[in-house]
Amino acid sequence: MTSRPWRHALGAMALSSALAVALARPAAAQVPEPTKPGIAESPTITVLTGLMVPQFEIEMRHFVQALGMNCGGCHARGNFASDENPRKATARRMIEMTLNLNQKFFPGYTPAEGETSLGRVTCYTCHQGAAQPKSAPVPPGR
Amino acid sequence: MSRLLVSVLTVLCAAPAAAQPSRPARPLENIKVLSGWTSAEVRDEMRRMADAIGVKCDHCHVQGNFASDEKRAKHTARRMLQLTISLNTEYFPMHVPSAGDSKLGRITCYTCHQGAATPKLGTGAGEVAR
Repeated sequence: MTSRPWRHALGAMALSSALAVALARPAAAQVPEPTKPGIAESPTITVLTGLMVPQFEIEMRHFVQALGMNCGGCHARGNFASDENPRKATARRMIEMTLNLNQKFFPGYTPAEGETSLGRVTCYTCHQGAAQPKSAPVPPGR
Repeated sequence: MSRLLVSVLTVLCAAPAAAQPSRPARPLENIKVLSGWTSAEVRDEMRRMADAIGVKCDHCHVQGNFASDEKRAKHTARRMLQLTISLNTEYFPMHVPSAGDSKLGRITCYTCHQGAATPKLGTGAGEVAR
């Protein structure tokens, strides 16, 4: 069996990288980095903060289905970060409302896998597929 | 002619009396959240609640003693009324209910319950996305 020096070199590199990562962690915890890898961050992400990118995208899909809209319902076409569409401000307010409501009235609820991370009350709870939630049953014949 | 006049007068006099309830409504006891509402308003809201949640009075009330707090569901109902009132006060203060609508505001029991005791959680969009 021939020796493979490049393997040793690779091993040493991997070890030093691992050490560098391990040593860098406490430093990163002390001085918070402005951008955390994997977290959905943007100057216009102001309410749904701290979510990993895939979870953030799942939340957006939950909104779309719950309100029976598409992305363009709240987002400017071609610039998802833009706050130009006034519905985006409404959506933020409603997310704040839902988060507050869950924190105050359903603090013990832990969402199951695949459920929205918002909590017991979700967009769908009130909207049920419609942009305007109902206040009362629709009278028969309408 | 006089007969006709008598008939008209009888109808006119009888109409307001017919609109009155047959017996005076008893004042409600043990009202903790809907305080400040009239008895008629509370009764009206109770009917809406029963319809919105798909239950009968005895879901929350002890039969024959509506003031009793014995049933756990009554405590939940109070908490949910608090939730609804605080939501409407904080997020929909400009909403004025139309005649015949719930006095609670934009968000009512029906908004979430839609006829079911347990409101729906979600569409399962997460599972679709995975």
